[in-house]
Amino acid sequence: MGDDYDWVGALSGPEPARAEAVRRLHALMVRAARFTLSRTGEASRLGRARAEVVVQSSADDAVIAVLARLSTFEGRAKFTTWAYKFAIFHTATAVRRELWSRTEIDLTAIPEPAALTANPLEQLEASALADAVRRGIAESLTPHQQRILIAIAVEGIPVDVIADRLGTTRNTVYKTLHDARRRLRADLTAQGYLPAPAHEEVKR
Amino acid sequence: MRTDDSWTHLVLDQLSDDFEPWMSCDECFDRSDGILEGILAGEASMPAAFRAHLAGCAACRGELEILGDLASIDRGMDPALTRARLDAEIARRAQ
Repeated sequence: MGDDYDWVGALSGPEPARAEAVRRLHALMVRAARFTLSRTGEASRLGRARAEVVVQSSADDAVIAVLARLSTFEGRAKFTTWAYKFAIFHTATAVRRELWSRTEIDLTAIPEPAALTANPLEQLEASALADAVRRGIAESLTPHQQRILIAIAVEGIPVDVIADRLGTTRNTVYKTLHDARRRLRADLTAQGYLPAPAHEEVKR
Repeated sequence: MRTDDSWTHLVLDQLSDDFEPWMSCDECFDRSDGILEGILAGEASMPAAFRAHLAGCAACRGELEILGDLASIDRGMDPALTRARLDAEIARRAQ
């Protein structure tokens, strides 16, 4: 596909040129979806058949998203770069969703951390920090913030998967994580366990 | 409740940065292609909020890295070089 192809004109123009452009766009999205799988190590656990379903469904979703947002394309990037990001987003999200689909996740309870196993001297030194972290989580975070922080930090559950299970968005889960980090950081900084953040100068 | 050492450090890893200024995942997504073009061209740096978001959101960072790889290949560029540029931009937070 040459750089001079008028994607926006063809996708928003009359038939039959539009249908041909949509066909080309779908092929582009399939390519990006396959590429995403190839760059996502854990995707190999899906198996060939499930991977192909992810590729095709993600490409379909990406075509729909590109067409729905075509009027927002401002030409700040090449059209293909702009369109790729939809395929990558849908594919990466679908892979994570698939990989966690058979895992039961309880996002209502806050799991207890495991008992200390280090030797007694190391344990003594670490326990003050560990206690401060535990107390900070319990006292400065809401139960929801505690659960999201532990799910992401300790259990390694991806934000998309948490969002799916809670019926919300990645945006909302990330905001909860961001607020939890800020509160806990402030608590541990006030206790002297963390240095005060060196803020970058914000240029607006 | 007892807290084991690895559990504590996994939580502390989340506090290694203040991830400010704030940017949402949606805004990161909306701006990613334009900012990546500047990085590919070697002409622009990341806005501070974009950099902070990538440092704090593994999902958005992973997707941008794949976008950088794919866009690099389309341009006949070395994806490893683009990754190095992205990493360097994000690492500028620590400087």
